[in-house]
Amino acid sequence: MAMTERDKANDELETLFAQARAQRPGIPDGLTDRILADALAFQEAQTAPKPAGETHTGSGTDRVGIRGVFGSVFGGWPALGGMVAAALVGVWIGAAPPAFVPDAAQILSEADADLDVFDAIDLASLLTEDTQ
Amino acid sequence: MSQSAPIPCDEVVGDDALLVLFANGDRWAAQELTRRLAPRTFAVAVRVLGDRAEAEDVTQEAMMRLWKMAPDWQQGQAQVSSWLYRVAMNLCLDRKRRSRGGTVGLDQVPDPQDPKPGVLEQIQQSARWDALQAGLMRLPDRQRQAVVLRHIEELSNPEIAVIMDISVEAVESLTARGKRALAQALAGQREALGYGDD
Repeated sequence: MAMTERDKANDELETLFAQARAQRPGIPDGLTDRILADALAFQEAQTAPKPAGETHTGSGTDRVGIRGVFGSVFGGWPALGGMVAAALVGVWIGAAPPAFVPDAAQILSEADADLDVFDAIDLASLLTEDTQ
Repeated sequence: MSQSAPIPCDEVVGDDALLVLFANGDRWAAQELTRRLAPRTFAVAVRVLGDRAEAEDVTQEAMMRLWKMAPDWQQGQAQVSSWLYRVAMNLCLDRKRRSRGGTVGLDQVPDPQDPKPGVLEQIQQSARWDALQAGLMRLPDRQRQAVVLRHIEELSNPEIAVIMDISVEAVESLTARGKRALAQALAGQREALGYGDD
């Protein structure tokens, strides 16, 4: 009769569940008040005017300052810091390259002095050759 | 801040539409969402935590997260109630993990609120309530959540699967094992619970 006992236990459990459903603990008034206070405070913070100088890209809840847009596009302030550092290093290498990096300024000036292959060619003479 | 007139029928405005209204500053939407969602969240939290004070904190925190999420809510992505249950259940799990080894305030579980039972019947119902809650508290956290959501909140298995972020099969397994463990825990208390007289 193990099956009967199990059925009885299940029936009793179902009765307990039914009672629990019928006797849900009521929400305290104070809690409802606190939840509503949170909600209204959040709404006010969302709809309050932003400080002067901050640009808005939309209205209502879709307002994001230009710094927010800039930050979100580039990955926030840490990423921006990395980009600025990389740019400064690039400028420095361009201005004062280490020994193992070719000096672009020197190469250009040499090209101007020694490798100016077009200097001796007259464009007019080339055109004349084509028509001959 | 806009003030719209209350709409009498629950079905006219869905929870997700109310969230959009809330995000646009509608106070009535805040009241309506609180009325619809907070009581059940609190009831589940009480059952899962076995402590009214902690359940109050969890409910308030879960609702606060709902307010903060409202501006980013995308209609149709999920049921608002499922999202809220999920947040509440995770908050409950966090609390149980933090307080592991601590005492559980079973004595703070409310008495039944039946208006007209006789004294003996009242004591018996209270004993049944306490016995069920005590049995629930002996279950592992996830089993207890699944049993409460399935058998007290009467949610569907797929909905519970979404809330608990597990498969439907895992929900079925959790609830089956939870029910078996509960039945065994209560079997020794049949006389005390008054089932011997039924």
